[in-house]
Amino acid sequence: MPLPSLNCPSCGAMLELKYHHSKMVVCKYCGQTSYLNVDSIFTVGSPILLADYGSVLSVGKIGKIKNKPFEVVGRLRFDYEDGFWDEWLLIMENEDEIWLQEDEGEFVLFRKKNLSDPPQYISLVIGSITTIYTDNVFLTEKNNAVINGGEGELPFQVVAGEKADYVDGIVVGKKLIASFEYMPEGVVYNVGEPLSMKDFLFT
Amino acid sequence: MASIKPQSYFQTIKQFRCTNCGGEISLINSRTRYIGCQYCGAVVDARSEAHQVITKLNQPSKYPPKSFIRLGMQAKFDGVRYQVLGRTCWRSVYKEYWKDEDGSGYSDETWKYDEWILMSEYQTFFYLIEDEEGYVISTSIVPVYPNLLSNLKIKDFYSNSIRQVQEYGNSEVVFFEGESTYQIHAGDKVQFTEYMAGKSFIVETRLDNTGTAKEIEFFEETKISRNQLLTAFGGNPEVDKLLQLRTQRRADNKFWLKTFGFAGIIFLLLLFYSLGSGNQIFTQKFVIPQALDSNKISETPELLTLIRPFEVQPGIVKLVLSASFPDNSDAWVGLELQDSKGEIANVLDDNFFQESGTEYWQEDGESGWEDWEESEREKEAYYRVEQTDTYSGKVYVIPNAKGDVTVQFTVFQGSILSRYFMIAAICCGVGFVIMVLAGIRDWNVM
Repeated sequence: MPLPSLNCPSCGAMLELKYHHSKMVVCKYCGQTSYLNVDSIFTVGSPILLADYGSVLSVGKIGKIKNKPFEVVGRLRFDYEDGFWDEWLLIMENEDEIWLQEDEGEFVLFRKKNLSDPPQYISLVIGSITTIYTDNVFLTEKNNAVINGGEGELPFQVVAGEKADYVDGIVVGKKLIASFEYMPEGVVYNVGEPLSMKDFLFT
Repeated sequence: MASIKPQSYFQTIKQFRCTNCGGEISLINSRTRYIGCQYCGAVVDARSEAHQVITKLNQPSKYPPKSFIRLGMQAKFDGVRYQVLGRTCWRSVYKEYWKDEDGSGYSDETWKYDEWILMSEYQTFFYLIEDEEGYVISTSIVPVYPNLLSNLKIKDFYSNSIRQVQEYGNSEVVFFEGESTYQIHAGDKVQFTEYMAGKSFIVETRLDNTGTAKEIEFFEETKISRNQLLTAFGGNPEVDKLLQLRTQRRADNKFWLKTFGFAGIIFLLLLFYSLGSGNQIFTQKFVIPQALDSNKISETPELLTLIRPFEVQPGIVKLVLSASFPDNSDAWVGLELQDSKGEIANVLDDNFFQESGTEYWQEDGESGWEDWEESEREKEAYYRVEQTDTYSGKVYVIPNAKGDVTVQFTVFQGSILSRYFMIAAICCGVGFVIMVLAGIRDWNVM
């Protein structure tokens, strides 16, 4: 089913939606964030345009990751004391929600996993192992972060400045990256595979 | 490899003057938050318009680059372009594993090294570590079995088997210059543990200012030669000069290697050719009788016999005086050679001896008996004859106390002065070795 065309409530530019689960869209022209409901669209906060710090990715970019086609539809930027990182929302075949994290030139392709009983942020210690279902996660980094802003379409409704504390780790025996994001709406648990530039093909 | 269109990342995106010293600073990486001024050591905020000084590090003059690498230089590794963004100088205090026949343990060590950060045209990064021993490329890895040092043991990141810890300790930032996405302070610390499995594997824990673990990272290090680095950094004017110099020195080295090698071979061939003694034209044996009274051996040579006349043609002659006699005895023999006019043409003399025995030895707690032998039983001389002549001679001796000594005098004609070829061949060999060593040094240094 084709997605409806909407206009930015702030500047009137056409918002071309591509992601079926979009709940938020940031106008690429004016930076205005708008929340999407079933039958309405309304603005939230002031327009913010993310600073361009250079990346091989951008909203609208298409290509292949490990020979699987993808299209970038949105981006969230997180700020923490040592800098920032971007998480790019991708549309990929047979994937509901898949994120590509870009941090200091390192890429991880994350898939969200449901977590019924997430560990407390305060209980997680760097260098220790925590068990999530059958996975042992060796914790490598823990820090406070906030959402700096976003662009394109996003599957949830957030505003710049929201807390997004995180704990990262490595799944023992699987060479996978694990990440707990402590958002106001709840804890998001992602598990992902690290990628190198050789895994990308841009068209 | 992905067909990514190269971005114009290597253009300077911003230039400003250091708020502290006024030195000109160029910003290359758009993600850079802080810049360490290479002129004064101040760390300034790269993003704000005011570029306020965040902190001050040590004076850059105390921490000059160890070799040719400089900020802003471009390089190419595996076909991908990189640019040098920054340099962090570290000082390590650590334990290093040692093992010998007496046992094993860890020694206290200190070390200094530079860590260059290079950014690719795809905005990926790697570290180039430089110290007195050379260079390694350090890349971040995701291990299958992440773990930390525990009871002086560490598990292999990929096989989970126990590995010998080679080094463990702390490193501390003493200086930083260039760009950084996070704020660097002098005194920032990391803990590290290193093991070897073909190459070095390292787990590093970044600590905050309270000493609490902030982040754990894993790296593998691959050695890279200076020569490979020079090639990778080719295209930078300073490096191109070094490369030109290296090419010239290698050409010179090659020339001298070839010259010494070729000349050495020629002299060796001449030496082998001349090893033959020529044709024997005369020989005479005589016996030195045993001294009658061993307690009354004269120290004055006595005339023993005359050498029969023999004719010599113009050219080189070789005179050989050889002796055979009882063990543990000696005898002095002198030969005076005269031409047909009675003039002394040559003199040969030597103190011939033959000694052997068994000796007790003791060293480093070991002891035993050892047979030994020393002897001097032949003397030779070369003589150039200008015209055909007849020679004769006199033999003088100091008799031996232990038995008869048989002495033989032999004359060869047609011999070549092989010792000169030997000296020339040795000189060429020495020159060749010097050139090889110079070449190896240049290979490592240039």
